[in-house]
Amino acid sequence: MKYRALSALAISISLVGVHAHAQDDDEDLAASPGGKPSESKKADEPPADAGKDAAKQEDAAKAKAEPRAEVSPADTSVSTAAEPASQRPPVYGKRGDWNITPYGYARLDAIEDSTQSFEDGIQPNLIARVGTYKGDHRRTIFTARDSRLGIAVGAPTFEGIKSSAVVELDFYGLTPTDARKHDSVVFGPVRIRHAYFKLETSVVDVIAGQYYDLFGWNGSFYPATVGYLGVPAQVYHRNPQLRIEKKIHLGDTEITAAVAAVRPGQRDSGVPDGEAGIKFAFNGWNGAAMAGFGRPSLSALSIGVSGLYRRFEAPAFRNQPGSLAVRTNGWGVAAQALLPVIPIKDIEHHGNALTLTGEFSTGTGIADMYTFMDGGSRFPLLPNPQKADPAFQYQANVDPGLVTFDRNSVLKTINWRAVVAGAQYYLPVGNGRIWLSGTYSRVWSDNLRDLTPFVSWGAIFTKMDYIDANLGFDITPAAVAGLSFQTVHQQFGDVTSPDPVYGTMADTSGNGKVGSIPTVPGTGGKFAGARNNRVQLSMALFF
Amino acid sequence: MNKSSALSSALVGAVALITAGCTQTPRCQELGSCGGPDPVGSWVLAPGYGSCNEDLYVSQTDPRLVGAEVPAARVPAIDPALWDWCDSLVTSGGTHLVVVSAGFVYSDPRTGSATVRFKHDGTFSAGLTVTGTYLLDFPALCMREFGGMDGRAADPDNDPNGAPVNICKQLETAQRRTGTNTGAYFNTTCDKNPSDPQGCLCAFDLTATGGPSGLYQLLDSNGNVCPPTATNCNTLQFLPQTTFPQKATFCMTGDSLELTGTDGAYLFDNSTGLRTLKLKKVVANCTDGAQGPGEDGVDCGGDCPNACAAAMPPATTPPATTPPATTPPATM
Repeated sequence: MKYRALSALAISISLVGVHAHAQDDDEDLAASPGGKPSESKKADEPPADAGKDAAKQEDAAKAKAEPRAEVSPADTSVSTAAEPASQRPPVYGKRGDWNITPYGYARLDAIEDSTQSFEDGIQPNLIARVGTYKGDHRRTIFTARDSRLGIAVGAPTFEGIKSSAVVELDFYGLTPTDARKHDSVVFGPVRIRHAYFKLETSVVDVIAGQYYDLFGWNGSFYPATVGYLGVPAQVYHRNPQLRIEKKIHLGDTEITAAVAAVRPGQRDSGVPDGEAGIKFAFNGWNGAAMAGFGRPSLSALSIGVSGLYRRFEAPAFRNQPGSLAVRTNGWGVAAQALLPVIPIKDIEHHGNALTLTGEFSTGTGIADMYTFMDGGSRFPLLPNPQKADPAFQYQANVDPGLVTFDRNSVLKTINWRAVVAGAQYYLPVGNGRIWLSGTYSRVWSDNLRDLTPFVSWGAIFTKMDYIDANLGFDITPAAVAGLSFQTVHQQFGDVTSPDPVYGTMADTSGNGKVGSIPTVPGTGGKFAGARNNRVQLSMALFF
Repeated sequence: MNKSSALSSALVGAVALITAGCTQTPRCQELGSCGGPDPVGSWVLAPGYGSCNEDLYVSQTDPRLVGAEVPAARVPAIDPALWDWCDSLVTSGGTHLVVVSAGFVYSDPRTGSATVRFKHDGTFSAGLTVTGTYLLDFPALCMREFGGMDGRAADPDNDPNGAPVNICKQLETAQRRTGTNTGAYFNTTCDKNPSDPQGCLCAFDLTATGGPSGLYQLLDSNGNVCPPTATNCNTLQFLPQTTFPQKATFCMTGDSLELTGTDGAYLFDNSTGLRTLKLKKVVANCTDGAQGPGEDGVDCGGDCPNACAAAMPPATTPPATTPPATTPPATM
């Protein structure tokens, strides 16, 4: 039996070598099976092990049918046309042996921002400054776009291979740039969150498709907040990937080691990113934890460490680079912990449970891992020695915020460090129906300012602090309401003049420099900054 | 209305109320709005008085890219870019180091000098001068990459056989000349950058004057025009004629006049974010033989009883506009 599992693994690994053809392969693999959501999983985390229940049933049934993974969507449509959909035979095994479970939630978010800087999530774009219209005026947001719909499929076990798949959607798809605000909010185009399948063998497990990044052990250490994940500074990202995991159990301790080949962070790259991590879960010590605005689950004391390595290769910074390329490397290291300070024995009784979460991450060229963050960084304009008009523009093949060219035209990665700390407490009222949580985070860069022409220092932020406080109430076990206050402050790269002090800006000299105040980059004042405060009311029904 | 919708409405209302007090603290606090009589006379910044500008950041736009920013159909838009490390400076290895001078860019300017004059005939004029000392930072790449080098004459036009100087002094000559010609950027000096010895740092003084002129009238708190004898009006409405009306609340006590742009507007629609002015009234000395505050010429015009001769230039002739922050001289 093992050799078949190894064959499946070998086929998957071979995909890395032919990643240029990955899209073609996906169509075949998409027909592979899945499972149902596990009740022990957090709401924000799709049921990666969804096939277990169905697989256990199938262990007894011992399906004999041959796999039909090669069936294409076109084949399926022909079959559907020939007979009613309800009569379509399963890919293999008996229909009743397949477990197909829809899941998700419908959600409303009502948000009041003190500035007009953000859309739904506090995504790390620049906050409008005081003294500007957007910085001095509020914005109201009502949206249901964070509602989610997923389908988890668990297939019957076949020759020892347990297989499952998940497809999860929300409504944050891209809208045309000329779409009206009404259309982008009310129509809510669909977006893929997860689309992957999982094969579990006695040797290793394989995840193929779009899933949480292994870097940061996404999905395992999220803070509890009514606000949108990822909160600023949080490693929060999904990527198409091929991941291999191995779990080892030593008593109550579960050790998970994983490696993954991931879609490159660079737009046009020849090498996939590499991610690896190890996680320890001490299952004898459990607490209640929820991911974002989800449902609490029984979560073990856990520690995770992970890393990321990527390669950047870009055209040289000149008008006509030809094939001349410049290269640099990016990397990241992240450590997370989930600590049940007041543990519980089962999730049905989670009143008085207190759990802490923490995350530290550092690296360079990894801004995309922080949910769209780029710090405002863009490539500089090319010098224009030929006085071309219009001037030449650098044809970038890297999304902004990851790398840039320094003052000597050398390709450099942008450094970021971040910490996130969260606490969640379930009041001993109504068996934990009321909960409190809070999050603090900070992300900062020590080289972004140096890598930005001084004229543009006002267009970048080099540090961002975020705090939230949340109150949640379970109307029913499935219907939840939450109220949150979130404040975020950004420190920009430019230095302001000294604060206005009346009486010191006098015109006395009459020499053409009246009232002169030295305003020199890096001196004279303090870093400019801006703050946004948000109050958010969210309600959701989970199913 | 059922219970759940009432609850929802109450919660949403609570959310709006909670954030009502959460907006950012303004940098420039509003000054007094006690009003007063018609502030006829000349008012200036003086010791004990001051101005307040918001800390705005105006992103730099490159006129060189005008034709390049519109992609052809079905071609992805070009990625946005930050400003040029060279700040538009173009250097070469020819006889002249500087082929195209750099822009004089600055941010967060201060209004260091201001004169506002209200006349009996219902006209006003404002001269606002933004000031400061700023740095330009030119990396070694900009100075050396295209042939520039030390040991050449600083001013090849006027002194081709002059003593050889380093590359920063060659740059200084060209930048100083350009800045002076614009009438706003003076005293440019360039030296080697201690942290980038192959590059240069240049400092310059900014003195850019501008301001509107036109008619003005007093309004009461309801927006009605006040009669000439009224003493309880607190809003000045400026009618610059060439642009939209602008309003400012004011408080005149003794020889002090405080002006604040109404409802968050900038004073005189000033592009540098001028929010408030606290001014001191000046009394023209019409017999001292020199042109002073409140005079259009030497002991004439303005607040003086003697009219100036027609050919006599006014004391403050404000240009049409104040240059916006971070605007290279080419666009002034």
